[in-house]
Amino acid sequence: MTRSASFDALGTTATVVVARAGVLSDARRLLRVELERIDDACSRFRPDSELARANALAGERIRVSGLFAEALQAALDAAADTGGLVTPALGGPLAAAGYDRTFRLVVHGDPVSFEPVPQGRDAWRGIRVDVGRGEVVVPEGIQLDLGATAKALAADRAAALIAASTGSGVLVSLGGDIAVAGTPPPDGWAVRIAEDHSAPLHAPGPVVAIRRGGLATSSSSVRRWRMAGAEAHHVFDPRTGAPAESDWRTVTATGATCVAANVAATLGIVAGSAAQGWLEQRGIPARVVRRDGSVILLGAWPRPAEAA
Amino acid sequence: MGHDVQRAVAERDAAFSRVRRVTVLAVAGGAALTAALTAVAQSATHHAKAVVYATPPAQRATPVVAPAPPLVSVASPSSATSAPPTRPQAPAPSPAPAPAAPVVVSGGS
Repeated sequence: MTRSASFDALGTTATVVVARAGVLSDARRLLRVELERIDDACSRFRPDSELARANALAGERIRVSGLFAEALQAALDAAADTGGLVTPALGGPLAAAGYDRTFRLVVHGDPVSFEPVPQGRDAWRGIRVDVGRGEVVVPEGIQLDLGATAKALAADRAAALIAASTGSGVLVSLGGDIAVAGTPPPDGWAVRIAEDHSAPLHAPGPVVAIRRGGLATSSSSVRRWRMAGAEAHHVFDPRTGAPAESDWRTVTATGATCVAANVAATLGIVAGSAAQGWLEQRGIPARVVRRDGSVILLGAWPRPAEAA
Repeated sequence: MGHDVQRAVAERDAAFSRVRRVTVLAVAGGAALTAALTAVAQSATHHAKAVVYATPPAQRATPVVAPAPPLVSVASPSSATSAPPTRPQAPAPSPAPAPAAPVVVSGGS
């Protein structure tokens, strides 16, 4: 019998589920600590975060924590693997669109007039990180945003930490980005797939089980806000510096890690059907909801007759 | 008697004279020895000299190598998203049909 706990963190919902009920309290405490660490390092909205300092000191070599360097390296790996379409160099365009504060403040603020700030697919190449020495250089003119990968990295790290510390199988979900570690329940970890991670747990919809790695969903139908004359969502395309306008609106993918799953899902929103070959070449099972609401299943994703 | 006195005085004066010469020679010899030992001592230690702190040339920042560029064309969005992985990656796990009730929802956030 699994046990779970949820709380607000990183501007979304954090959930930990453990296979052994007796360790839930410890698991929740460990998750909180890990999320505080990632927030200290990678928050774009806290002036005292390492990311804010790196952005403020663009052009200079600065010392950073091992965690920040790891998070930035993960983001640069994602950029390298996606031809720069999933990139940490989107802080400027997001801020220009009014997303320069916590999302709760953005949705309740006045709409801003928006001038897209194209970054190009190569903007990430100027970012330097030395994980071993804990040094980072952000080029002038670039503002970091690690939102696409830091949350997934936090899920991976927290799941591994909790499993190692408690000896229990564990699932960590941060806004629907899921990492599992340790021995899973006999039937695996059952996950309902939806457009919005805050949808009811037991509503109708596909349910799949995973036993290792990660699963993530990215969608342009949530985290939306008004700009002057337009509506925005949070998945930006570096080529245009504006919210992605692909033909896919929600993508769920699995990965060896939650970071890998998140990168695949985010690329699907940015590139749309142009990402299908990328997903298939990597053998990534994925569930895609097109803009018109139709669903396509890629790779080894369970077909409707199989999925609950 | 007067003659003996004169001779004694002369001998005394001569003795004084010898003592003065010996004293002068001893002082001179001591000074010379002091000077010689001082020279030896100076040569055996560091010479006092002005210390100049050379300012090292400003160190150039050692470039930190960015990850290898992707092996995809940056000119063609469609080809970039169909390119093979740039590095070996662990395979993505296959989700399975779930017989149990869900424990969590995965969706956009």
